[in-house]
Amino acid sequence: MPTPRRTPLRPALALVAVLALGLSACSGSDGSDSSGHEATFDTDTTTTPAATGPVDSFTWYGDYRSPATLDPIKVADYPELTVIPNLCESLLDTGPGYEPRPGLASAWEQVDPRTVRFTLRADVTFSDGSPMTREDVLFSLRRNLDPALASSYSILYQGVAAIEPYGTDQVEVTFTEPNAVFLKGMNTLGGAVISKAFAEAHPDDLGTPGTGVLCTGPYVLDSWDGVGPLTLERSPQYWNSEREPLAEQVRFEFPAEAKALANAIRTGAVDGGFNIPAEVIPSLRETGSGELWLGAEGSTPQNLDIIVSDLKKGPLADAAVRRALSGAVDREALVRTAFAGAADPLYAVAGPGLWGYAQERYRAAYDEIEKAATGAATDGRAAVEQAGVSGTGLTLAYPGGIEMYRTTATVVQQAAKELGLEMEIVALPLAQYYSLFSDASVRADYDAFLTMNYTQVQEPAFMYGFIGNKDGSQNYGGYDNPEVDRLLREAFGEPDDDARAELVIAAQAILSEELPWIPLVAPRAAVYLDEAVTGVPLTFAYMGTAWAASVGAP
Amino acid sequence: MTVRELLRTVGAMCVSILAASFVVFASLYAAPGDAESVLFGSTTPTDEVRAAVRDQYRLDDPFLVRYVHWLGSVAHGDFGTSFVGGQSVATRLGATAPTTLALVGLAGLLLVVIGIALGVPMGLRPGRVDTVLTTVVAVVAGIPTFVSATLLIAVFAVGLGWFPAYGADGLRGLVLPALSLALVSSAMLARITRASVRAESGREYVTTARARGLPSRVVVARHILPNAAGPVITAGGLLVAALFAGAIVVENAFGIAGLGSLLVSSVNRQDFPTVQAISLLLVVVFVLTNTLVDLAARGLDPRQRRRAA
Repeated sequence: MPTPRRTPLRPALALVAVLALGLSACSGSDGSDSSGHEATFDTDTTTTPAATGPVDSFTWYGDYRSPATLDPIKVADYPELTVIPNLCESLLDTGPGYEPRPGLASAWEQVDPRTVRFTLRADVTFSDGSPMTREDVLFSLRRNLDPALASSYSILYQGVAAIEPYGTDQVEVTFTEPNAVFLKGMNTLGGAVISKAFAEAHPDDLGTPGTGVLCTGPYVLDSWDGVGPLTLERSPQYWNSEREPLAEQVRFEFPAEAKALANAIRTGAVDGGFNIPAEVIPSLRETGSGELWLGAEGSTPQNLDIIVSDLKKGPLADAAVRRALSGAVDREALVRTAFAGAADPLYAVAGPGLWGYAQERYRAAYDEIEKAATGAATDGRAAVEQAGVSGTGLTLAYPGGIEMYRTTATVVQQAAKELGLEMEIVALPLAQYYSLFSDASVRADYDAFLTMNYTQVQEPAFMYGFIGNKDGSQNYGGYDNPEVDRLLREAFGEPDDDARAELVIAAQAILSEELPWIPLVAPRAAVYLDEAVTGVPLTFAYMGTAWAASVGAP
Repeated sequence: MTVRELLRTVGAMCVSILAASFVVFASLYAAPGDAESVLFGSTTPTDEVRAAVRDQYRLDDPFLVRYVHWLGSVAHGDFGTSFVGGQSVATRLGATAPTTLALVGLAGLLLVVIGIALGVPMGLRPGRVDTVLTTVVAVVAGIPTFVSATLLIAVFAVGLGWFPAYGADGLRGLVLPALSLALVSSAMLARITRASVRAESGREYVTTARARGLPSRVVVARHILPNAAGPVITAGGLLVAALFAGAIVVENAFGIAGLGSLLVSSVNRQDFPTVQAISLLLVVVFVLTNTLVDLAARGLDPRQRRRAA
């Protein structure tokens, strides 16, 4: 989804710490696999080797629970984002390195800062054989504006003035303010097209197990009861002959616990999966067959951060104390202990995983921030003393029952101690943890809390807008800096990539000084494949493409 | 048993269920988190939509009105709509309940068979047989369900490959989950059976029967076992009913989509309608099993039978 996604459940599975297991294969962060054969670091490419032949079927880890719905815009969490892109295609498609490709739109254009246009393909049909019309596209995009539907992509659509037909085969989206980032979100399910007739025939039960959806993708729903496994089969008449699916059938399993996933992999009950929990990695060593693939630095847009609950209260109200805390956290140790090595230290909230363009500029700016941050580690204690908060107590909340968060909280607590701060770490039940994000009175009880975020759109302006704009949806601490606000708003409407990057980098420099969020680490993609299949992205790009169509025999 | 007794039992059962339904509803009402934030996530609904949703889920009604309305709907089989994805809660229950019932049913069978098969010889043969079995039972009784699940998977699924380690396709897939669910309880039942059989074996009428030259086989089958059955049935029933709670652990360990795993994920996602429905269902099943066991035990007790006749 385009909005930063808090994902306490996911990391419960994906990124649980492997303490004391000595995961040697993951100790290198530069791609050198020194001792083990169980993990393949791939820092050059963004996919596993392409498939060479068809398979009858394969079984995939569909993440930690069965999808809540198949309506593309209703729920945007890992299970939905794993399954639905194979059913429903978007205006733009996503390459494995996040590069935008033609999807249901053959061309797109930012006509001016307030206008984008999509040229629709004429040869697209839904899986029942009916043609996809412009009416379907208008209807599908406009659903994101309907507050009653509560689209997960509504933030992407903020500032949209109108979605109208243009010319003979185009759709025009106009904005109330300059908007250069909307286009970048059209390869998500926020740009997905469903059949208008089908949706109108099922106003109340679209996306539920009995009804499903009618879309244009290479697969259609075969069986699903809403709580258990889900099976897709090849669409009987897929319109795109360049993308013939290699598998007749795809079955998804949804083990809630990492251990259950490990057993499923070891006994061959699943052939592969994205987001393999770090906890599972050691057991993959014993399977003998299959391989774990780890992506490069920046292979996922995820970022683990400390959010300061209130920037006007408590010891963390002082930016110098926040800088000291950030400098004191041993990020390398975090990578080793909480992520089994499958992560990288992170020094800006929008790290390498979010640089969808102007990578050199972002890299240069990032390196500077990293240098400044690592150099500051030495005088933290003095800064805390100077701020007059030495010996002060503070609390850090984190989601309970998830090893990765507990380990992280402990490392942060240790850093605070070195600075002369008494940090208490508090594990919250998930339901209560969630309410931190919606209820300021719950936040008031804690000085800070841990979160894992990502945006599906490769656009740092998005992420920083959420946390740095005064009215940003994730600005929990009440951050208010008119200069940051101005830079980010300007960036949001700047169509030129380099110019936009410069504006974002200027805002990022301020945010990295003032740290309303303290970035900690960025996890890498961890993909498992057994010997039967290959051909998947080694990034989060799978969330924006019908990835299953490319999976076949190695 | 008289009709009056039967009515009293059924009445007590209904009162228990009603009281439990109130506790279930009230505790979720008081739980932290708010329905609106679950339903809308990070999006901000218009006042109109907010009002419509609040109306649909009756969020503005007083507590008691909501409770009565919920109870009324449930009585008609309408468990409401899940907060997550808009699926009907009844459909979600329908999709998971058969799996959980099959799992608990099989586990219950294993529990009873293992428990009695171990408990009877322990009770009848003091000495070496008893000592060995008592030790075995003591060890088994100390293994938590999640550990036995892990062990069984390691040995029979990953090691020997006899059963699947994951999922619940058919009876074969349920064997390991049911076994790990039943083990601890079967050890408890074995102990109870042993105590009950031992107690009956020492009674005077047994000594008398033996003294009159009745074969041991007859004494055991006609006198000891029937009289020892009461406590075993009562305890067995309670243990079987309690298996539903254990199913939560086992379903997650084996990746089975059942009521237990649905309950856990619904709690995490603050899907109150689903949590309420499953909690109530578990309570009803527990109370129902208890009542049935109670009736069965009374029916088997010769003294009660005689009084009724």
